[in-house]
Amino acid sequence: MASEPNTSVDQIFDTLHLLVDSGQPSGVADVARDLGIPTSTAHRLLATINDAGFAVRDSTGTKYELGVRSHMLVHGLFRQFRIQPAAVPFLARLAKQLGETTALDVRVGWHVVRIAGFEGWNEIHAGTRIGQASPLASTAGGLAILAHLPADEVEGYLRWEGGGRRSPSRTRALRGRLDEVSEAGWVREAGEDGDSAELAFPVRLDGRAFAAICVDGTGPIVADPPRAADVSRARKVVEGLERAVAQDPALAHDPFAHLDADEVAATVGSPRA
Amino acid sequence: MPPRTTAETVPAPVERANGDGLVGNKATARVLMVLSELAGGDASYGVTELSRQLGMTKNMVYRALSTLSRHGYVVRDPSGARYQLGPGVLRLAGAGLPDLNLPDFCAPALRRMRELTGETATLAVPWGRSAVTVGGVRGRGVLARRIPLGRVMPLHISPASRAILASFPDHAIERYLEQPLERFSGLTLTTPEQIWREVETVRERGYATVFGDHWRGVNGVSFPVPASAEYPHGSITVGGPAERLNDARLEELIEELRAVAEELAQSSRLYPSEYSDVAE
Repeated sequence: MASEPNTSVDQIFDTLHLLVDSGQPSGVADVARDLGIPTSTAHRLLATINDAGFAVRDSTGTKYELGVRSHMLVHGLFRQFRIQPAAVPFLARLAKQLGETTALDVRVGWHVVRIAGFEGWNEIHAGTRIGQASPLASTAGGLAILAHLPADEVEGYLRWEGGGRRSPSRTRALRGRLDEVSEAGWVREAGEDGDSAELAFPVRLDGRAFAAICVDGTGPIVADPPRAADVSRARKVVEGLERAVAQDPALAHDPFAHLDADEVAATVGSPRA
Repeated sequence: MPPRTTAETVPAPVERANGDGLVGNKATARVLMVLSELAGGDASYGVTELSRQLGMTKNMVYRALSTLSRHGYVVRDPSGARYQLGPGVLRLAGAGLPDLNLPDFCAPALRRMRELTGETATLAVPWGRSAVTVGGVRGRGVLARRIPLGRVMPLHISPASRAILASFPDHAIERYLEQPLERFSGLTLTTPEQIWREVETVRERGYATVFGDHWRGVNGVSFPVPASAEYPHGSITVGGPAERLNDARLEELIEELRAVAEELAQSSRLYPSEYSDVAE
């Protein structure tokens, strides 16, 4: 052992993040190359992570991907948001009414994160994309939340998004958009694929949004403009969840409310992500 | 090929003691041991309790937590005295969960149950007011229980059904009991009082058993496959000829079978069930 260099503890995290970012199983050579470390070190890192269950060998037995314990860690994080289990029956009801995939987004710092979803009943439907984190103003769910936050928090978001610089035109544009969203009570954003779109409703306690319910798909509910009858059905379901939260305000608990939003955001990702 | 996750990938907890015998250096092993403990699902963790659970000194735990904190994997909770999972864990969420294909997902657990017992192991999922058998592995003997693929059973008949029903929320069980309950044999439970008593028993023990309410000469035991919220994914059942899989033999096997089911449950709880309503 003495002749071998110590495995830096931090390389554990680099390796895990590499397995996430590469989007496909990675082998010892991939990790060694991408982290710029000797093959023997990469081998030891992967073996250690594998032994602890945070990575697992893929079906070929030669490459590694994220293991069950990593997924359990993510699940544990999501469970800190007490709204998650409470929202699932509402997501299921909405998914069945509309046939489209439904999801629950919550705010983490300046990001919106998808923590639950229910797949649509249509033969062809959107995936749930659970775990996706994006800057608040970049998704329908994030905009629905942002539009129902106090002005100083919107200001804080804009400062973070601009990397400390203020852009008056960006500020005007976003404020205008948020006013529209707040007036309509919902927000629609076209999907990246161009075919699907997403409609989001804020979930509020005392006027302040702490989560959003999203409908993701290709049907009339997400058309431009969305079909009014579908919107009002969806709104009824969201109102049902809001009533449950009003009765049990602990459901609106934000596990990171005691932390500085800029610091939280720095951990999650950059504004351009 | 899409990523696969099976119950076989659930590891045993990282071995206790101070990390000797693990590949890599000790500090790395300790960080992963603490992180494993944090995956347990509690709201927050104290240094003293972690040190006791992991058999590490408080100083070792504290150093591991500092490392995890530097990467945002843990943060102090609002009291400042305890630790909770931090937003840095979201770095691991980016890849999303591997797709859930329930029969593939449960296959390793079914095979293990067959290895333990030599008997047929099957998987059933809820559909409306019924449970449907969707897969299984056949027992080894000349005589073995068949895999009734596609068979639809009311949720109060057969242990596979009752393991599912008992995992439903109470309001859904009440709704199920609003309609008349079919009778398959003289022993079928057909009153709400009988069903509720059975539901309590299954919830308490964690499994459902056969008592001649359906087939004669078959013995078996069913475990729920729980999901992340509200409704379960389904149930897994081991069944065989009653003379071979008698009560004494089942009692001998139950703890090992329960361990297999619990290991499957650890990962099945990461996923929501596709089921949502008895009124289908």
